[in-house]
Amino acid sequence: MPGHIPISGLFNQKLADLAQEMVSWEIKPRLDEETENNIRNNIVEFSHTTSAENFCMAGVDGSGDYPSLSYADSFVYVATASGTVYRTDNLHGLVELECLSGPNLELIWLPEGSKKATDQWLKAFESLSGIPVNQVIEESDYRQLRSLAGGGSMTVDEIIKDLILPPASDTANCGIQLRTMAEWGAALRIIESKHSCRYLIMDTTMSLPFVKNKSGSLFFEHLKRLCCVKGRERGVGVYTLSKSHSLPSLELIESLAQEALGVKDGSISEHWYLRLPIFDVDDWDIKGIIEDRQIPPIGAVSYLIRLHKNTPLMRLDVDREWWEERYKNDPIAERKMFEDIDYCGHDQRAYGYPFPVKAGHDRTRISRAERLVIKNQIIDAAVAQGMKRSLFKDASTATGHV
Amino acid sequence: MNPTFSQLLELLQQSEGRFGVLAESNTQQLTVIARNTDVSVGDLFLLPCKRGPERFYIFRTTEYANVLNRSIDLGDVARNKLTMPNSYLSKDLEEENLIQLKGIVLGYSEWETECWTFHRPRRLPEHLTDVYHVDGSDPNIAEVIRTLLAGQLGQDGLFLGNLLAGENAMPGVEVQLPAFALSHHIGLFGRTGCGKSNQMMVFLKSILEHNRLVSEGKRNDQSCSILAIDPHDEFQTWHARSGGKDGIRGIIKDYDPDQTEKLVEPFYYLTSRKVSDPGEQEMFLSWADVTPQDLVSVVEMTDQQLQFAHRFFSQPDNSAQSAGDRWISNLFDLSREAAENDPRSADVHPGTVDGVKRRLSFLQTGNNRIFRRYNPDIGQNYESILPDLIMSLERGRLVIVDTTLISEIEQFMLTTITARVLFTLRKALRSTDTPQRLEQEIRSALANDPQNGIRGMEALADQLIERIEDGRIPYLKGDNVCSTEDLPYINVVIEEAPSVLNPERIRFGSVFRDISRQGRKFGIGLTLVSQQVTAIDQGILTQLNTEITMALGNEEERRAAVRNASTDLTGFERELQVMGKGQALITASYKDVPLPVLAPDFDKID
Repeated sequence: MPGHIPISGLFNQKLADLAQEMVSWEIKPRLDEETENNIRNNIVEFSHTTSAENFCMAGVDGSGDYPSLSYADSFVYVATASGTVYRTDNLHGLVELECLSGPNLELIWLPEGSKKATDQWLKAFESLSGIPVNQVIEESDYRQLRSLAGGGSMTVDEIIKDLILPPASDTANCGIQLRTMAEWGAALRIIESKHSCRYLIMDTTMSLPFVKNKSGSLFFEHLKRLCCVKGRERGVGVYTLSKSHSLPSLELIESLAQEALGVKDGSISEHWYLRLPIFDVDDWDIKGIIEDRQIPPIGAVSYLIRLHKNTPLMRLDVDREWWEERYKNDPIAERKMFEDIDYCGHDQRAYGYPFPVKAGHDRTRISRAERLVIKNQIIDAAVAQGMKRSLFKDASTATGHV
Repeated sequence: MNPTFSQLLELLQQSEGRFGVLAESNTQQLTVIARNTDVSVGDLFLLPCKRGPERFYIFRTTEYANVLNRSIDLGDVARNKLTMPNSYLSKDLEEENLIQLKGIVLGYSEWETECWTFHRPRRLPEHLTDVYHVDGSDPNIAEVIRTLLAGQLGQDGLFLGNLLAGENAMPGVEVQLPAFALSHHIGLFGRTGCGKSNQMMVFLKSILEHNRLVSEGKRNDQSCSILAIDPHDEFQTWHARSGGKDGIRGIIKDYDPDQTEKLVEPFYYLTSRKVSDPGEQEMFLSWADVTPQDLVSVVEMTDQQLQFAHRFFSQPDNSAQSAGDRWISNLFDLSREAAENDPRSADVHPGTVDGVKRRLSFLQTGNNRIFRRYNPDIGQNYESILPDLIMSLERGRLVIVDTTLISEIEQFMLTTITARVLFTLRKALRSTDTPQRLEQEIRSALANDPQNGIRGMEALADQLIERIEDGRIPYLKGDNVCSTEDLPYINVVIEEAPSVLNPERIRFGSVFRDISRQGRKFGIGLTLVSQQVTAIDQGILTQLNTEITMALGNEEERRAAVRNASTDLTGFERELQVMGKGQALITASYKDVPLPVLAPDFDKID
């Protein structure tokens, strides 16, 4: 019978074994008492902030269709990202300012052959970032961080030759790269725009997956770090905020926060943050939780933050240099940062989450209908140039995922 | 030279520019997403489309809603607003505050052999078509609309008002009825205070203007005649008595002698008062003008009473002569004893005879203002303006009838008699082709056959024949008989139509039912003026070809208006609910699309 999974006795045994493994993993002790105390002592409360001085916050997010179409052994990807800038306002809370003239939108055609594909990738990198590839790598501080992290040093040209470029058919990785580049490209445009934002926040992390490697890097890693460099130059703080923080046992940290803040059992503590320890700054760590994960990421500082009881615990990453300049030795400024972020999280459409980021997400999101229209327009344009309509395939149906 | 697609599109783009984008469409409804702008139900939009031949779709809003761009659940927003202290709603850029419009496609205009032709909405615009707002105050847009809807708006006809786009009328975009609409039956529906009188004034003025242009050879069409019942005595002087603008009188005063002769004489205004100003005429009819069938339209009669009345009118008495047009005076003089000996009443129950007399009692002197006795045997000769009224209507005239001082029965009798006589004459005219036979046909139609002792409507027949022979009634062209197509379109207005045209009243037959079914053939039409659609006989309603529907009193009436409209009013139900004073929906069997109009304020037009 189609769709029917036969439940045999063997399968039931496998289910039980799986559950047992997961339970054993979970009950493994994570924190010792000293670490728990350190966590409690480093939980910082900030006030529910209903008024703010004049500043701007930007939010950026990306979307697209990865891929949109396939044609023979090539794929067409649609990458888009957009941003919003809001300034604080006594009457409206936040007021949007015009920033980008339009979304960062790119149509990328990737064939399977390596030489042509490389050219297309580099073309896409330049288009999405807005500046030449070698300039991004040159001006970014990624090479310096890599060197410090033990990843060796390479020239710009070597790095370009060594960039990780997935094959066109590796749609998942192509999608990750293109979307991330679109987002950081939009972020760079906002950083260099006329608005002097105090905060630019993106829904991602500061992770640099290949920074410790001796070879191979992702272009968006360079671009990400370039945004931090440019941000510092122009006085724009670059932050990332992620709900997917890669940390287990968060309920443990939550309960420690409750204890630290004197919140009753059953209630959820809110308006607090915890800076995760940095090995060369703090004399404590949470290896028991993070194990071999690189948290904070190289070149960044990480916080756990809860803005509101209705929103989950999130991770906020800050550029390390920026943090050292402004927050490392100034706890009042550090708390003020969270109060500013809290203030920006009181819009009725996204209570408990910084609204500029939500707005950026909403602006850039492509609906199913829009994806279809873009597909059709691509096909129409190609057919007008003499290509065969029948050879275009909807990539989602081609892979069996509709 | 008709503007092309590109030229029209350029005009649109020069104006406001793109208003929104088509989001969804099906054959029932379009959804448009647009910038946050002040729009209203009824606003018009244009969707230029090049899928297939070049077309402009015309879309009309039936509802709209404020939407926040890409917000998924406004319920959550409202909840947060309620439960979260100090929450706010950020002020987004204007482009993010959008409105979602829903509406219907009225149709599309397609470029066909050097001109634009309007089609009913069998097709849809393509995905994501740009949408342009029709701004009534923009002359560029007005020109686009005039071009695209030329075939529907009408020209060289009778002006009703300007096309409404939303709440505003579009200057220069006139909605007109063709002159022949007068002979095709019109319904004017609207509750008290909706602006019917002003609409009628605008309409009457345009009829005068049409006649003037026809008489001057500037319009190639038949002239129009209308018998306009005026229950409030407004049309003649309008607001002049209170220092405001003069009515029809003011227009006629400005005519030169030649125009007065061709367009007004002998009169334009009938009233039961004594009058002396030029063009005004005291109104009176004769008992000789009334037939038994006329009574059926206005008073309740039993079968027996009607049968007796017919018999008394048409059958010979003891002297072998039928009463004919003397039947009323003879009947009033008929005593019980005489009735027993009269072959027309001997076998009739006395109660029936008395019943008919009672029903005729309103004609007695002192019980009415306009009916004069007729009994030439005792010197009460035929005195009636009916022959001259018929003559006027056959010459292309507007005749206003002030009914303020007469009873409802008198008003209905006047309308019924006039309509019947016109219908009879036009039928007679159609059935003959020589002047010699014409007199015979007319007398026969009026039941006047002196050679066989059948009097019928002898007095009226004599007067009409006289006027035909001397040319005052233009039925003869030299040695030939005119065709009805050479004569004016005639329209008889029936005010308070439910009183005369309800199903009960026309059960025994009605000249209006006959005219509603056959009048078109003879160039005679009716205008039914009513506050209610539901009270009018369905058979009559189905014969209407033009409806001018104004604000109605309740949901039942609106539903009836939608059901009976000559054009599909789907999507306009909400419109009917919110119509303001002076606004009307024009539907007609010769138009493909309902047209919302606003009649100009008569006080303010030139």
